[in-house]
Amino acid sequence: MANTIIGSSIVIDGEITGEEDLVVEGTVKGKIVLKENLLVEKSAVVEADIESAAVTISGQVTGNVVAADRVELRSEGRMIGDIRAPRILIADGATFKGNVDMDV
Amino acid sequence: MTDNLATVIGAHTHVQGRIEGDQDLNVLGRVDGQIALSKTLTVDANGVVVAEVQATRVLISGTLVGNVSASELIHIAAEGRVVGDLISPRIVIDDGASFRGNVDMGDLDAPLPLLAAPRAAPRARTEPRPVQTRPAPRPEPALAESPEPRRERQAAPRPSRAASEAETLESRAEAAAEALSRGSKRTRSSGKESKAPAAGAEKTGKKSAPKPPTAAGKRSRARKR
Repeated sequence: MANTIIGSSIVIDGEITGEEDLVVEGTVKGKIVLKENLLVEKSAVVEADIESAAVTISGQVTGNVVAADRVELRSEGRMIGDIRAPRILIADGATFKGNVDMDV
Repeated sequence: MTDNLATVIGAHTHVQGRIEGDQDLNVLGRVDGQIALSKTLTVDANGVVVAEVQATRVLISGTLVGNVSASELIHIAAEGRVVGDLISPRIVIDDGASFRGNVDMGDLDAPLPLLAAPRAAPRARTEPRPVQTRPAPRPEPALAESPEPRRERQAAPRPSRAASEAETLESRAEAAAEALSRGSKRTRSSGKESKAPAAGAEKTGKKSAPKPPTAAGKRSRARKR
């Protein structure tokens, strides 16, 4: 269960840093640095550079993603940006444009 | 549960920047920046908010540094610590809470007294500037007149600053002239001055045409006394 939830009608313009899971259902612009997992829900719009342990994207992400563990792009997910992670999963139906670097 | 509708900033999360939204916000971690909500902000006992806050209701059990503006209620619980100004129609502070700052509950009965005018820009415009009233030694006609010369100054072009200075000299000269007519001793030295600035005022008076009528008004009122 996530401990931090950004609700669907919330807009955050700035930096989010944390040591726990984060679920984004709203809009985040800026930067996200987490030590745990990031879940970008279907309704979410994230325009930020992301650093996290694991990232699961079902919404829209514009920005570079660096994950220590894995990046999962689900079928409703749309991403523009570079991915750096040792494991990557892109599901059928997802949209992605950018570089992939798995040599972390 | 309600958590699904609320946004929660967890205990180990730090947000720096601006948060806006139409949902309740529960802060257990830290927020720096600005918060603008149309619902309720709750700062948990471990939560720290260093931000300008605008919300409908603000419930503080933790630490908040910044000005708080709530359209409905601000409640500082016993463990709450707030440094900043509170603006809200309803304010509740529990026993044990710490607070330092201004409290403004809005228009209570009457509007704020004019002495507080310098803070609020719109009020300062309605109140005549003291600089304009002081040169005129008579309080009554000065108060009645001050809206007029203000309007004239606004209508006149900027070089009228010289004209306004000339007008103050002119008003002092008229006071002197009036005192002279009453036969007081002070006016001898100032009586000489009355001619020179009056002439100067006439020249500059051309720039702002409406001034002579008020000067005439001053004299007539002075004579009535």
